[in-house]
Amino acid sequence: MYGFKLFEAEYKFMEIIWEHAPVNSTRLAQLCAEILGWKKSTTYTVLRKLCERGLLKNENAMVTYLVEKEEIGIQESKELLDKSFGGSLPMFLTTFLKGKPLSEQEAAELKKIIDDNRNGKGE
Amino acid sequence: MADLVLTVLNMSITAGFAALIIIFIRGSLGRLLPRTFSHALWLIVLYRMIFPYSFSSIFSVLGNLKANLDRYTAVLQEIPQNKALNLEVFSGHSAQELAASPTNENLLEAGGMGAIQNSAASAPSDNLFLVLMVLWTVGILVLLTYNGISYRRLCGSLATATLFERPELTKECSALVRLTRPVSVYESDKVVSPFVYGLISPKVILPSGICRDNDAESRDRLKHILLHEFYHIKRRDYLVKPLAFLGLSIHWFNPVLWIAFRLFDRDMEMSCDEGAVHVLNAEEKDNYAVTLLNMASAASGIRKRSALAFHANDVKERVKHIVKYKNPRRSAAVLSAVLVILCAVGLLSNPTSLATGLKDGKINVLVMCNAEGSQFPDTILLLGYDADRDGINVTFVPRDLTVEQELNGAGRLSGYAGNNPPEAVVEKLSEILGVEIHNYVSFDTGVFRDLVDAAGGVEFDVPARMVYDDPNQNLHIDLQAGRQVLDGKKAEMLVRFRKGYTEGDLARIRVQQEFLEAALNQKGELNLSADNVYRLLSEDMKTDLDMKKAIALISQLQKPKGAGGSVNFVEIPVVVDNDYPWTLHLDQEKAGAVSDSF
Repeated sequence: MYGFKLFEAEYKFMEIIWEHAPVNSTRLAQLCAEILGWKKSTTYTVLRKLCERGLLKNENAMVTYLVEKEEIGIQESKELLDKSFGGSLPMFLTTFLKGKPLSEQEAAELKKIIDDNRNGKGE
Repeated sequence: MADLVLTVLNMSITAGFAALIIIFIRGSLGRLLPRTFSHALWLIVLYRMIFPYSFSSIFSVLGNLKANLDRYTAVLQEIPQNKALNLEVFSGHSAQELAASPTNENLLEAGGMGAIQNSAASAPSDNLFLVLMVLWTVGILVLLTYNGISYRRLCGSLATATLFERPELTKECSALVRLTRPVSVYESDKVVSPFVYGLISPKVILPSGICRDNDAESRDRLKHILLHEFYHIKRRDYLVKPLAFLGLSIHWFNPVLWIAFRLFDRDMEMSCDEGAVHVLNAEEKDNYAVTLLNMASAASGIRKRSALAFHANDVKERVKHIVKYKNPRRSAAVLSAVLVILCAVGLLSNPTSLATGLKDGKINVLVMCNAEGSQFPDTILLLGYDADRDGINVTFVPRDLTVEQELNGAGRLSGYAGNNPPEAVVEKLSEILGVEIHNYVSFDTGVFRDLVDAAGGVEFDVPARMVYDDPNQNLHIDLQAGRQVLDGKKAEMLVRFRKGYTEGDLARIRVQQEFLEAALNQKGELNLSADNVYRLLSEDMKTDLDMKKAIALISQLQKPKGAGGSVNFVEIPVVVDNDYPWTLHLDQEKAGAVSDSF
């Protein structure tokens, strides 16, 4: 078992610190903007959270890690989706998929249609 | 406020009608119509949902619907104003004082003042109106707030989304779709379905689950998805859909538009599917369908628990569509484009009659009244309103006025009007009198009787005993001389009587004019609102007059003197033909006075 579980984004953030620590927090914000595409405020928020959890230390604007890579696992985001969306995206987004997932039977049916089409062309 | 609600209702019904037609076209053409084109069709509905105005054309298919809608809207919008007016008259306040403020501007728009006065009156219907309005507003707020909050949350969750780590793939797809500006692609473990978000600088969000694997299949899948999403961005769907949602929020009470929104959304996705496979080769097209299928089933593990389940699933339809989809041949594309243009002109434009009329705050209307069962008008008059002038001009045009005709030579106006369409009469009289006539209204004496009866009769001093019988015309006149209240039937006798006058028709015109004056002067006492008048007229009259203007004109006539409601009678100078005493010629020397006064 890992001592800590992080979300994927936090893990990527930690990876930057493992590589560059000790790192000045301004420089860290720059790095995060380049590599992760984060805003400065996002970097500082995540930094503060991880400091509070005891994974990082931020002293005099120098950031270092307190936990090694091996001690950390990635947490699945399953629960988070429901928590953060309440199951609903705004109606005005153009989402690639919407509605119920396909049942196995429906998926098989569609697979057959695609295959038939492919074979039809081959003949 | 009442204006706003009525305008929205008008828009909602118009948009709903357009949506139904598009649903029908889309349904009957099925796969023949590429979704890229049906996507364009929905933009027509969107325009109708958001913009109350449009251009006019003879190709408008909205015809009666739009005309009637505008009529009812105008009727309802006039009600508060008239109510307020009558209320003041009844309660004994100076009618002039009240009516002085809503004068000329009101000819076009029932002013806000009327509405305010009306709310003070607080009739039961007003309460109902208020309740409906509150409900409507609450509905809008609920939809906007709910989606706004969920958007805020989404932004919060996506703050930690990280940049997609394969810039070469982004570049390739961006080039294939020919995006003109760089688009950032992010991945997040908090989403299951890829989407575009952001209004100013749209970003693509990918679920990080599909970004991990590096095999060829996953690479293809990412490529398909990116192409689809970039197509959205290229076509500005990230702006169009919020706009459509905004429109839907305004029209939330209209079920047809909910269906339209749903179908629009589906067509939007399907046209992006088409756009994506357009740049892929035939082999990859089937792989694109597989990607769709896999995405919809792979996500199922997570999505099972989400509350999105009330949506029907589009994936089936999309997979089938894309499997069968062939890049449209040039001819099909041209035909579809023509169809879209036809629909756009037909559904976007308003019927033309709405455009004619009140130009520069001016309107001149030809009114013709014929005996029941006769095609020849006996009474022809011209109503002229000008915002810059006090009151309304009324000119009785003698029916025996000589009219030059190309084919038959000179004839009488009445005969000309009976044998030609009203538009031709309008044109002819415009030419003869030098007055630009914009519209016409034509009705028979039956409507005239109803009008007088609806007004509760008109008090009038009948100048002489009138007796006349003409079984051929079904005309029986028997009127006592002296002051009396004339009901519709008696009023008809009065205005049709001509036998006893030495001057014939001209004397009759004088009586008609006096009668009209008397009727208009007692308007303060009668409870006949403009919309009632209009309703009576509309049943049997022929007109090309836009309903809103008709009602505006009637209410202008009903206004008290001094408040723009006075009537100026303008006489047409005529000379009697020496040889034929029943024929009148326009006195050319004095005729200029008529066109000057209009």
